[in-house]
Amino acid sequence: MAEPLLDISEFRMYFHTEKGVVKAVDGVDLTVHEGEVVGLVGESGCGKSVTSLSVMGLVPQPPGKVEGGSIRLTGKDLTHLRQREWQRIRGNDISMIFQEPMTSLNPVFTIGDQIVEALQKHQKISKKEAKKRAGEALKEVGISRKGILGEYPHQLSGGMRQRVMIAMAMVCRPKLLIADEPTTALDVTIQAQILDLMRRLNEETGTAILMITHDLGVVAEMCDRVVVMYAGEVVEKADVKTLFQDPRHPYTQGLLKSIPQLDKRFDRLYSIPGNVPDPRKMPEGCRFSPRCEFAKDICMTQKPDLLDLGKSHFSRCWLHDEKKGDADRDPITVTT
Amino acid sequence: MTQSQSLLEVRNLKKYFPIRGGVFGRKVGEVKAVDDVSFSVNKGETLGIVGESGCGKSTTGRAILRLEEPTSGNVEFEGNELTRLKKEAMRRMRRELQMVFQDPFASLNPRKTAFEIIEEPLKVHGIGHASERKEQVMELLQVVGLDVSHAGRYPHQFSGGQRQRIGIARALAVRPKLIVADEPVSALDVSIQSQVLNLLEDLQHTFDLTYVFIAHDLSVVRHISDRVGVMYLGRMVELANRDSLYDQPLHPYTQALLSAVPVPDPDSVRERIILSGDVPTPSNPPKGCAFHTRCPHVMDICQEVRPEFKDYGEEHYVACHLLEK
Ligand SMILES: Nc1ncnc2c1ncn2[C@@H]1O[C@H](COP(=O)(O)OP(=O)(O)OP(=O)(O)O)[C@@H](O)[C@H]1O
Ligand SMILES: Nc1ncnc2c1ncn2[C@@H]1O[C@H](COP(=O)(O)OP(=O)(O)OP(=O)(O)O)[C@@H](O)[C@H]1O
Ligand code: SF4
Ligand SMILES: [Mg+2]
Ligand SMILES: [Mg+2]
Repeated sequence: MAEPLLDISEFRMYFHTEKGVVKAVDGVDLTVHEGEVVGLVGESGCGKSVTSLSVMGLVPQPPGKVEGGSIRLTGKDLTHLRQREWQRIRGNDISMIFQEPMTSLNPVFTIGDQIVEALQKHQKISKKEAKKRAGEALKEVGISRKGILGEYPHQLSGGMRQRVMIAMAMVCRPKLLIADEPTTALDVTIQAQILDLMRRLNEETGTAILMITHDLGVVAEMCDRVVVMYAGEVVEKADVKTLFQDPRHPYTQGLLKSIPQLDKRFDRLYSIPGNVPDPRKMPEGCRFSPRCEFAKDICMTQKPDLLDLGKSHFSRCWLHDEKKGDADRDPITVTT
Repeated sequence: MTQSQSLLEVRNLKKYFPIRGGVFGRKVGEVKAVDDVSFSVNKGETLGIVGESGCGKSTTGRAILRLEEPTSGNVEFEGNELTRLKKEAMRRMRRELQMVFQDPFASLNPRKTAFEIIEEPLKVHGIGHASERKEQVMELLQVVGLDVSHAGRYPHQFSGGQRQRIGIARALAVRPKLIVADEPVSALDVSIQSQVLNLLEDLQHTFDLTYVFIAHDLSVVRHISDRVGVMYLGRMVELANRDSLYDQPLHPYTQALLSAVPVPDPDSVRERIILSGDVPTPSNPPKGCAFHTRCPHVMDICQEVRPEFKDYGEEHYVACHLLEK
């Protein structure tokens, strides 16, 4: 395969707080190839946003600190860039959209001004040309109402604001779009519109998407590959079909069994016992071990590696290790 | 209608909120948050209410308990007309009807311990002596799966799922017959959500509870409900038993809503109905059928006449002109 567009390798970002060290991202491996849609899933606090903000150089340091690993964009390491170099990359090579578009739209400027500014920051074009392009960008995301360029963010509905964000993010034709829970705050019928739009942009412009979400339904519909995080670590990654049909990590398996499904009936839902660990007191060994029904002695003391199971399927679990783990108990049976 | 088994009967319920404006705060309009909604809830069942943000789900739930005074309509609980009860009588009646809220953090007093929070409704209703109450609270903690040794902790010392358990224990304390649960699992992570859903189901069996379960997650509602009502812009547009509603939705809005839910199966091929446009504002709902501005099947009559909410067989209620033909 060609060199990946984005290559995050063994990346660690810790927060040094008064109450202790938060190992928010503690060994993340993730690649996104050109034109690909990759899903990053996991529960609240597992480090999805910190991972994506790190790619954009937007984690405040301090309290954050890169403790190892690299983030490469077409081969170039981003972890030690200076602010000025970031300016060139953000918006141009990589763009990001967030869950709540209001936080990234400026309430005192019109929609038109904001898109024009984004354009002129990266491209030497006249104001008039930029305005024309802004109008086109909005049409591309399905907003064609008259006078929209002169409206302010608060005059728009949540779904429209998210469209404006996408228009702004796409206007310089970035190679990579990072979407952090882009539809979580939206209603399901509006979510369907936005996902449809993102899929179309991906197909038409070839922009790769790193899609961050906790919704496995969104992942199944949008993504080519999936990366599952738990407590700051990647625990499993695979292509989307493999992940849903043959999940191998006990956490992924539990997660898939816990969600009620529209078209399948269970009398009783499976539930993973216990709670997500406190990020300041991560369990020894495998971080999932206190909640894992397959845990063995070694799981409580030694951290498993992300093991290659073949066909680009990886899982971080002792059960896959034939020597140390007990391969017979490999929980391969899929119950969904 | 199955009048004999119904525990709660809601008829033509309306809740309009005034919009005030100008220097004198005069009423300049109104938000029709709930606009003529009727349904019944049978003893021991779970009625799910779904719909998108702002469609009036919470207001419906709150109006049933008169946490919001209904503008008009009737709410009959075990034959008692709640809307006519005096304040004190309504207060006593709340022992029978309890509510569980979405945000377990906002709905729990941060300065009270879990013990005090769960004990409070017992005190309010003058149930038992201190020692009896203590025993009951400890039992409740166990019932909802919390560690009794954590009774002295404050809400912030619990996780989201544990806080929701405290909220449930508080609602259960006075042994109600009906619990209105407003988005009880929406703020929780998937792995914790299933724990709380299972708990609610267990408690229903143990204590013979009836639930009105409000949520926007259609999969969760399918899992937990016996019957489901779909709301749009203050109105109920469809109501049926769970499987008919999910397998044969009759209202165009329900059809679109169900088709929009992403399913966690990469092989599923479903036809998606993508609705254009946004939900109109409830202060100025469209004339006729409130859904006509987004409906793929809109006809002339839809723009003029509000369709009646009618039973189209086997208690499958729908408000749509397409079915009238
Ligand atoms: N600036 C910060 N200082 C200290 N801790 C932080 C900071 N930002 C994030 N964290 C911690 O890092 C961990 C990972 O947070 P992150 O926002 O990446 O989670 P997430 O997976 O995006 O969760 P969610 O689904 O809730 O958005 C959390 O424990 C969080 O509290
Ligand atoms: N106290 C109030 N004053 C004025 N308007 C209100 C009040 N409470 C609710 N509304 C309005 O009534 C409508 C219905 O609100 P409600 O909270 O019942 O919706 P919901 O279906 O529960 O939505 P969500 O899914 O977002 O919780 C909304 O337009 C809301 O803005
Ligand atoms: S009444 Fe008309 S507009 Fe309303 S849902 Fe039915 S067909 Fe559509
Ligand atoms: Mg996040
Ligand atoms: Mg609500």
